[in-house]
Amino acid sequence: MNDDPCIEDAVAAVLAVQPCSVTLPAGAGKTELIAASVAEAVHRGGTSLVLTHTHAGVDALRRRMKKFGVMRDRFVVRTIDSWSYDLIAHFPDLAGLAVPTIPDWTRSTEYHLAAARAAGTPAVAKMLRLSYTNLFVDEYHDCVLDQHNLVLSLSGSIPTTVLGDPLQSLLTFGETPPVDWDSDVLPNFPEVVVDHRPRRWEPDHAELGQWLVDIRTELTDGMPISFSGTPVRWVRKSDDRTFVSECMKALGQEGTIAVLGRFRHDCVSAASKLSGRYTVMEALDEKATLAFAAKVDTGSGAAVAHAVVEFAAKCSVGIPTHISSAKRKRLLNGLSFVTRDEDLKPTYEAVVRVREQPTPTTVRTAFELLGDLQGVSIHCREAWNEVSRSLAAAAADGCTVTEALHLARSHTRAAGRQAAARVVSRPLLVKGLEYDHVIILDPTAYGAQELYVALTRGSKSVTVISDSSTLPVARMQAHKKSPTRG
Amino acid sequence: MMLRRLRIEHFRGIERADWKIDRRLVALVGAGDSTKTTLLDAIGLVLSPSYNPQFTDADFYNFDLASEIVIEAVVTELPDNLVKESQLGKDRSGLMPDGKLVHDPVDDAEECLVVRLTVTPDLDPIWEVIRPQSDDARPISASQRRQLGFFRLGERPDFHFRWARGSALSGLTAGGDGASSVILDAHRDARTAVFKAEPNALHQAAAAAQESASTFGAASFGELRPGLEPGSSTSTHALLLHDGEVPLSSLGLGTRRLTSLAIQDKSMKDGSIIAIDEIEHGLEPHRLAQALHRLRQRTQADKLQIIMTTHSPVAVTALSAVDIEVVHADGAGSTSCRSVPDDLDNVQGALRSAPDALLGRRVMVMEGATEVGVLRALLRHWDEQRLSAGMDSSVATGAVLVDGGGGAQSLQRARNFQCLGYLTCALLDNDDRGIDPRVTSTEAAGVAVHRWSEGCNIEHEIVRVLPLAGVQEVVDLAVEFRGEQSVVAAVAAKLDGAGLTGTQVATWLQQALGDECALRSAIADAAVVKKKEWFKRQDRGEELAGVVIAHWAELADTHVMSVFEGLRDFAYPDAATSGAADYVVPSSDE
Repeated sequence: MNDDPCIEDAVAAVLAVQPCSVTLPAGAGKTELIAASVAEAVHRGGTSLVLTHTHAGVDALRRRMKKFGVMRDRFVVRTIDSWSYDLIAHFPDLAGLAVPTIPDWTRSTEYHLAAARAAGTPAVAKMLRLSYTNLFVDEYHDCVLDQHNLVLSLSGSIPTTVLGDPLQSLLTFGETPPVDWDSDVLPNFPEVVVDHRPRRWEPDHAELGQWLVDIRTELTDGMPISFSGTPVRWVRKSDDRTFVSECMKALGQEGTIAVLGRFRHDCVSAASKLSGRYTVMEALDEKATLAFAAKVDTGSGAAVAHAVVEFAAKCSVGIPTHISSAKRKRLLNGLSFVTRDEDLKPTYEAVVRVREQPTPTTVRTAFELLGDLQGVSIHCREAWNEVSRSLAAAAADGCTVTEALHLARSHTRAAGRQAAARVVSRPLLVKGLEYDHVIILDPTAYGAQELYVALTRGSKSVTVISDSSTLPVARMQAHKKSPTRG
Repeated sequence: MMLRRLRIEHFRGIERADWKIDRRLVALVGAGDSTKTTLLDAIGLVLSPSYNPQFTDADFYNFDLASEIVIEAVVTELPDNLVKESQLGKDRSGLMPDGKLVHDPVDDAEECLVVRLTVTPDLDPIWEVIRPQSDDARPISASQRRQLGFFRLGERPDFHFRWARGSALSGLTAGGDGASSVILDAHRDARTAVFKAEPNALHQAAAAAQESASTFGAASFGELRPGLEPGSSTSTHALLLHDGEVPLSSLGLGTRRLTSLAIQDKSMKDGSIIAIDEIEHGLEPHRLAQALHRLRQRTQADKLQIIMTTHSPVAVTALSAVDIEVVHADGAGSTSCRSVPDDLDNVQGALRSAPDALLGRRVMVMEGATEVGVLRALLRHWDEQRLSAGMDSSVATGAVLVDGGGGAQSLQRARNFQCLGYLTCALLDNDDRGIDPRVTSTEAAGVAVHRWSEGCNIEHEIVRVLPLAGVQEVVDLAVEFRGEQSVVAAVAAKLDGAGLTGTQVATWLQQALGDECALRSAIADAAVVKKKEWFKRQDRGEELAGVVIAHWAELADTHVMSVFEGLRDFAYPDAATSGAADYVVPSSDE
């Protein structure tokens, strides 16, 4: 089926002992290994369930299955969340939880608990046993503890392999910590060691690939990383605008580019300096947008009108030149809001209409006119489009903007987002994604895992901007009280 | 697979029915229009692997197109493949031990699928798996329904012993496709044989055709000759089982049905639900009994369920009481199925003694053979009268006579039939005070109990009131059956040894010193002397009835007449009260 002896051995090792876990570095062919294992399981007469975290991951796995020519009825690839929801929606009594027709993902923890409960019942265990010979869970380092418990429950019925990389385990602020590889994963899923090579960088960037493998030891052991004499392109940070020229230069290259910051606000700030040439990638549960939607739904006319202008201004560069901060204050205070500039008049009037009659329709008109103003460039394009679509849906369907936004996000979760070719983003949002070129704005801000994820996103080039070519030690971020890390 | 529940709305003769099943061998019995076959048809449609069975307006109850047809089947013991997540694994529900359906297959419940067929007024069938207590529904495909393993015997009796596409015999053939190559080889051999045939008239015709063609310049043929068209046949339908030289298709219907059943049974590895309409069709009694025996063995051994209808007393006799479901249609659209309760005393005896009663509607339990004979003759007599008046006969009203076996046993049998939903009456002697309490309780259960005058049996009651000419006819019959000597001696014995001569009642009366009452008593007593009874046979009872009929007018206002008239009213309900009155809701104390 494939002429890669390395992967055949790995497949044999994975299928020989189950349950088991496999640790593979970024770009070492984890997806390939899963697809090859599923293909081999089919060859042996089996059917596999493959679970991962993101819809992008689902797409990638499905495409790889196709490449391996695996028959469509012999495997199922789903996100853990959608598979769990589907299960408990069918069996509310077994799950001990009744769920709405449209999943409420803020309750995902409950969903996972309920799914684990259902999976332990004889009726579901029987279905699993009859349906699948193998379970593969990808990106296992991203599993939170309740997802891990669900997988444990499933592994009681299906021989299970979990795959991941503790070095890519990122903590999402304010959320449940992911599994700890040593204390949670290895005792339940004994490690199977497989040979691997940095496939993502072959054949033209093998040197970079190898370097990225080599630094794993330094990162894990808390040693400093030096970029001199390495395949990474290091740029000395001469001032706060060094990154602007680097990013603009990079536009001349072919392929996709990710500019990586750490938090949303520094990404937005960086993007605003790049004249809309790069789009800010948003988290799927970004709160700024939600807060704006809630304001439109409940605010007074003046508050809504003011919020529309403020939100538009934050997503773009150029609006304050047409609407000064003094004028914005007058808007909020209910004072007259006018302009003498004929070109601006339609926009001003639309904003005033919002103040008089704050509906999704008037808000949308004002919002679009604001975006069309002379010299305005929108860098938070994702947030902008999301708001615009939600306003349209609310106007058409008579629901609130918040509802429309939730619905749009559910849809995006299910269908996957349209990735922009040039983004400003953060390690947390780009983990699992792949770009041709990566520009890292401030590597010293990162912990070891974030740094590893950031460095491994570029398959052709990695550019690092920092004061010194040797970074201070990046600490492993301990997600739990585990004493072994850090 | 096992069908556990069948719910019907608005289908053919059934406006509504809800039938719970917990048996693997089910024999549906009941009167001719009790909708037994409609039940089988409903099962067949809801579990049908067919994509598009044809429906017509006639399939709607009362041709009323305002409501949809709904047929819902609860099936347990699901095949493994359907339990897969990709199939219907997440659409299973639960069947609790008390028969309640629950949304999820919880630990205490048996997993089941609730399959619903809905036919809309535009005649579109929709099959779905639904979940109780919710609106959840998802389609179930024809191939998924096929895995439920339903088949009906007799739809295509010859099909399954042919190697046709989809036949059970093809399913039994390893590799599945051996038949095609056999057919093709046979075609090739036949083709060769035709080419090799000795020159014959066909060759002369071919030569003539070739000569004529050449004069037209059609083509320059080498040699035109007869030949068999090359076998393109992928149809293996012509390949069928033979017994020696004899194709099975030419054997008798019963043999073909049983063979077909045997092959289908063998080919369903994952179990199946088999429906058989009129199991007795084409079978002589001994083969019917053998077939039922085998079917019972199979249902005990495997995931197999058999649901059949029968009109055969032989089948009823060969079955256990618990195998039998009595089907009643109440005439107002409601059909009910009552399984014979297995804790009901003496049920087996009741059914075995009167298998045809189960096939009727109004059960008349008689004291014994004499009464059965008398009533048979009376019914025949009344039938003639009624038919000439354009009214229903007892056959049409479904009245059936049952020999109760006497006294307490008759009461028990009457009660059993009443509990099974049959409208029941009983005719009892009145010479045993010991059964009086049971008469009362049986009447309370709803049975119409008729009794003779106190101290009387039928012979007493009749001889007591007949005119002397009639008594003479009774004696004449007795002499015919028992011989003069026996009859005279028996009567004399009952007259304290008075000397009787001849067989003339008038002479006896003189010899009995004119005590007519004593003579009538003596004659009645003589008629029932143990082992020497005059009329204790159904045919003799019929003869006795002839006497009653002959003196009908003279018997007016006697108790015997009121009993017979009561029985007549039971057998022939007035047109106004027929229908709903034909059905009893069994009492709750069963």
